[in-house]
Amino acid sequence: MKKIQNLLLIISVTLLYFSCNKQYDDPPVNQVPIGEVILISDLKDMFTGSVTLIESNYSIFGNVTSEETNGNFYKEVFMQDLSGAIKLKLKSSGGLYIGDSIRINIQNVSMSEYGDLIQLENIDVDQQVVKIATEKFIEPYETTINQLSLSEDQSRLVKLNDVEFTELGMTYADAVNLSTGSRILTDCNGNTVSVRTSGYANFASDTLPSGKGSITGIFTIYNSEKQFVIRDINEVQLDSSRCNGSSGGGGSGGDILYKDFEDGSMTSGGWKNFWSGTNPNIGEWEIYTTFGVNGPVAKASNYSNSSNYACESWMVSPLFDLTVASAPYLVFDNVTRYSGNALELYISYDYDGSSNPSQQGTWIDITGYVPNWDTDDFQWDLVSSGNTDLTPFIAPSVAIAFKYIGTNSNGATWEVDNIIIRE
Amino acid sequence: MILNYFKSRFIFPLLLIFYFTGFKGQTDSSFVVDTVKNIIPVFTTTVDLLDNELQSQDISGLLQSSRDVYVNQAGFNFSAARYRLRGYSSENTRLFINGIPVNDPENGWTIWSYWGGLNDVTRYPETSFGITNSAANFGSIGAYSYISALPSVKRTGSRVSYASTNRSYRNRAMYTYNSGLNNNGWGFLISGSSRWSDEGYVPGSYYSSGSYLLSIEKKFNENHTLNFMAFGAPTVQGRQGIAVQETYDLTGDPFYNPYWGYQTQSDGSLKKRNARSRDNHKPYMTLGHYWKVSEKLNIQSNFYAITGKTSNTNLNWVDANDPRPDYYKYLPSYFVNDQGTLSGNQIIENQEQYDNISQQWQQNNPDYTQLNWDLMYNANYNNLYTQNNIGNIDSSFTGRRSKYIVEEYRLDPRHYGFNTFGKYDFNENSSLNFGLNISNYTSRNYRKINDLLGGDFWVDIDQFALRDFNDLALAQNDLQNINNIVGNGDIFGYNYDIHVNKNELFSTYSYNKKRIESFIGINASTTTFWRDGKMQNGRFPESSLGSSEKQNFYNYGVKFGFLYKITGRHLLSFNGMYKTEAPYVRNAYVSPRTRDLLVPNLSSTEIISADLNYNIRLPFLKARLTGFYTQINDQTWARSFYHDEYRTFVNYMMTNVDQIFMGIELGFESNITSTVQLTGAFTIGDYLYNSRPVATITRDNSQELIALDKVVYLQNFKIGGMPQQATSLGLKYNAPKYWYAGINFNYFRDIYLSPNPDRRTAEAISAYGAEYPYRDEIIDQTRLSDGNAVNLFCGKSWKIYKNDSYIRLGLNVNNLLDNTSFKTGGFEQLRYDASDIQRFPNKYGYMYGRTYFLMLSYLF
Repeated sequence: MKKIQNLLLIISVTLLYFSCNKQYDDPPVNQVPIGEVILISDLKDMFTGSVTLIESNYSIFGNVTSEETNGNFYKEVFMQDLSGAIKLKLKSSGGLYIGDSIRINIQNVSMSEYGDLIQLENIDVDQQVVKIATEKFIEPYETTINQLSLSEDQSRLVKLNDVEFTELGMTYADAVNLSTGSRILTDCNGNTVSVRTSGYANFASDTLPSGKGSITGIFTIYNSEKQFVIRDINEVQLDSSRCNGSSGGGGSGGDILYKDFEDGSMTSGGWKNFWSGTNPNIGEWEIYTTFGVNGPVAKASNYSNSSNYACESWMVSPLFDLTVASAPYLVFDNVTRYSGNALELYISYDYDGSSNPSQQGTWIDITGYVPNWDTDDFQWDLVSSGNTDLTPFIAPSVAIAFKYIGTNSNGATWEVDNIIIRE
Repeated sequence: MILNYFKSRFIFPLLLIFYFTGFKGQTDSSFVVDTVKNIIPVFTTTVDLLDNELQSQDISGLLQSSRDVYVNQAGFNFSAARYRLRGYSSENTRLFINGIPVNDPENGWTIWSYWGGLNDVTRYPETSFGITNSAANFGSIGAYSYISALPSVKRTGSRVSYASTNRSYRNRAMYTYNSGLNNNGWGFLISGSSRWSDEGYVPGSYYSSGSYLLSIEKKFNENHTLNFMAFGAPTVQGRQGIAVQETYDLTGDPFYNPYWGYQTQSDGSLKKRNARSRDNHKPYMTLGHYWKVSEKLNIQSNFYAITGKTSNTNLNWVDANDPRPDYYKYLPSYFVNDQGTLSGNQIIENQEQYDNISQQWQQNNPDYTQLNWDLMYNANYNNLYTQNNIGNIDSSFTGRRSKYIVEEYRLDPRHYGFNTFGKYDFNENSSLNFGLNISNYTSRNYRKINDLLGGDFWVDIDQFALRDFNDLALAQNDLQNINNIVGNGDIFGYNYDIHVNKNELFSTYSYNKKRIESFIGINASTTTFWRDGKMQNGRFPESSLGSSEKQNFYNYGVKFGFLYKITGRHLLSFNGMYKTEAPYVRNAYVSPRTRDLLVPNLSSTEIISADLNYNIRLPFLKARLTGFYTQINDQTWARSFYHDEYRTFVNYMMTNVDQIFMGIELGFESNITSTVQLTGAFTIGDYLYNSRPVATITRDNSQELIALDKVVYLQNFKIGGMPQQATSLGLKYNAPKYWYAGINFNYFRDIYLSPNPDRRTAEAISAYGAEYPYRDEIIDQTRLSDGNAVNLFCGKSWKIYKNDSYIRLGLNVNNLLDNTSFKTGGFEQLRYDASDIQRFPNKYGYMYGRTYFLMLSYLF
């Protein structure tokens, strides 16, 4: 038997010999030379008016003020030091982010202009740029539109206060045809700047905010035109009253019922949830932010841990007065996925506003009157319901309710958003 | 130096095995010299020319070992052209090693390399082709093969050999020892080998493989024998990639390999590194019981376990340039506006860049033609980055975030089973074969970081989803580890198990009389499979985590065979089979990496097949002529490819794929004189698609379906990837003084590329009218030129009478005329641009040029 042990030993030794792969040393670090350090303003002063090749061994230091993450910039970033700011055109996309503190060796780099905006050409982030630190954020320069200097402030991170868009209702850019949008931003004195947004930006299809406020971004120029590029949509804060005093923000003015869930609450404004089912709270209406949505929506799904659970789940509106209108209609966005029961819509004129709707109130099923329920259960795209005429239901105290039903064998996911009743 | 390293790694264990040769059982006095034919070494030249898929189709090792007059020649001479027996892919072959079924339950394939290097043991299987009366299993329509590795069955004694070659490996050392059964009923069979090359035939490829087999037999009495066997072949390979014709033309090298590049070492030297390595090791183990219940009843039962890993690496990158040298934007053709076609009027749009890049490629400047590892490392060294919002504790991490990594795709099988099969003889004319197989298979599928290439971390998010949707949750690959920071060896991206449980029963009744041999067989099986996700994917939070619904299939089959001996020298036989088979799980999910969504309309596959054979066995002529006709209907077809704009895998699924295989095989061996033999093999087939399948196209990082139920107009397209016509003629001289020499001429025709289904849809050409001149370029199938190869072989053996041992020397030269213009295969890229079909042109692989295999062996 000893011989058998020997054999097994040999086998295991053989195995050990094959357990490793080829090995390689890490290649050496390519040192980026420093040479002479100059300021960005000094560098821009060297621009001759036509393409200028920098032959000396210069380096510039600075902080990155834009990045490509949201798609509004492509193969370009802006950087600035205390003396000025400049645009870098990148050899390839990616690698520099807002807050990066960097050094660039610019020997043999070409400086050029595009519509009078000075830029460095073909910067190779991997080979010419040294990152010294991250998250060294620069505070934007707070100024006004008419104070912006075409030469001194170009490429600079700026913040404009008390400004508003003039073309309400439009989107930032054309996300369908991927073409750049140019939208006029004005202050209350009528000074304007064009907000340029790429069709590839992930906020290109957002509607322009209607209020007045502050906006932060990169100030650029095209010849003598003042332009402005948003670097982060969260830096657009136009939610105060406009110059003319009209309401900004929201969209609820004049609507009989308005619920967009943007506040992340199911119950704000007097909305209520009622649930019964087999597995606690599975299938209850809830705030959801993940799929196909632009901000929070209401969602119901009876699917959990690979199973479906039977449930009946109501989302009930507050009571509202329809007698104020002569031809009210209901419109909302909806989307469904996975197979299961259709979502049902009810209206009641005698609901008490607080009881469980399955036990109290006369609820009229108006599911079939909604012009457009989402039927494509493969896509997450919200569709508009179209206008559901509520004229037959004009009464002083009305409520609507969405009823979701799931069974133990199946159940769809339903999302509802922007529930509006208006005239 | 590297070579020495490899040698020491692999030769050392062999020496150990040598050392242990004192053990000897009883010597077998009936030792017979192998016939000259069988001295021909078994090897293959097609390793890794294409994908894993095509690799799996290489069962030439099995074919060559056949004694069938056609198949033996076909296996030996046609394998270089990726010949497939009757056009079937390898799931239609059933292979057993000591009773273990070795077909992969996920896709049905038999991958010969999992036991490569054990040639001494696998050399003489019991193999039959077509529809046959198989003993261990119902069998299929391709081949049935049973390799026995019992000490009592194999030739006893030792065999040691060394081979030098210039193919995927350069050296092979092999040692096998079989004690036979000693007086106490014990027997040991051990075999081990090493195959290695620092660089193979193709630049940048390498090979290092070991193999081992241990088989212990204990015969308790006439009725009971136990056997334990373990074997495996740990193999590390640097792979060859095939490329577009433009790269071959520019570099002047039909074996240009885009997978490798130089990496500077600490001593300043440059070392070739291959980004695509394969590292496989699947140990097989079995405990078998051989039971002679009575003179009439024999039963063999086995417990078996197949474990281990299969691993393939690839580059991945984020926020950085595509590192692949043959990326279409880096080739000169990118600067040519060809008006939608190569045959159109070509306009060079940027002459300066075009000239520069062409020149660099023509000069084989590795900065242009190969990967640049130093650049990738330096990009990583320099990418200081702060990742916020990590996990649920909202921490942050600052370090060098890798832009480039080597990632590793793992598929680790855990396959356990029990089978039993036997034979009952009713009388001398009739018998019954029967069997049962219960198999429980799980594979662990995941991706891990193989090498951060000098960086500190990688963030497990999908960049494309992040940019597209601006939603952090949606971009997560693992919702339960938000912005997961991963390092070397960590799992990321996807992680799921596939389960396949299969139970099979079969029985075959045989009736043989003087002039008749016949059988009729049936089988029934149940198959259950499901996916069990280990990660919750942000794009598919409700269908990625946990067990999916189980899919059940119930299948059955019938077969029969009838052979009539017109005389003892003229035999006529007819065989037929009808069966259904569960779809393979590999094709069942539209995107198993991310979710458990099933392919629509998944159904069982139907196989209908028949063959008619005429055998001649004259003293001077052995020949077989066969006609065959097979339909394989309702197949599911699945392929994934990496789409570099989507930065993810795109999955193509087709259901309702029907195929027809029909053709003729002819093989003969004729002894012109007592020393000169003429051999020939000829096949002509017609292997066609026979339906209009429907396709579903998805991508891994979006819930959006790219296409659903798209009709693919594939009817009458040829099944690609193999010659549909092949001819071999050989002449061999067997000298009385124990040497031989021979030559074979081989000719191949009708090789087609597999059609990209999406190009054969109404949508693909909808933008172009019938008069569009380049419409045919989108639709038509590519047929490759005919090819030929001449092979030469010779050998001599010596007997040393003193100790009754033998020395043998054999040499094979394949492709003697060094024909390097024979494209043996390739594929249409699944990514295509209908408005510019040559933007993503076909990729081709060439047959190796002249190669040799020289082997010296000593048998004692």
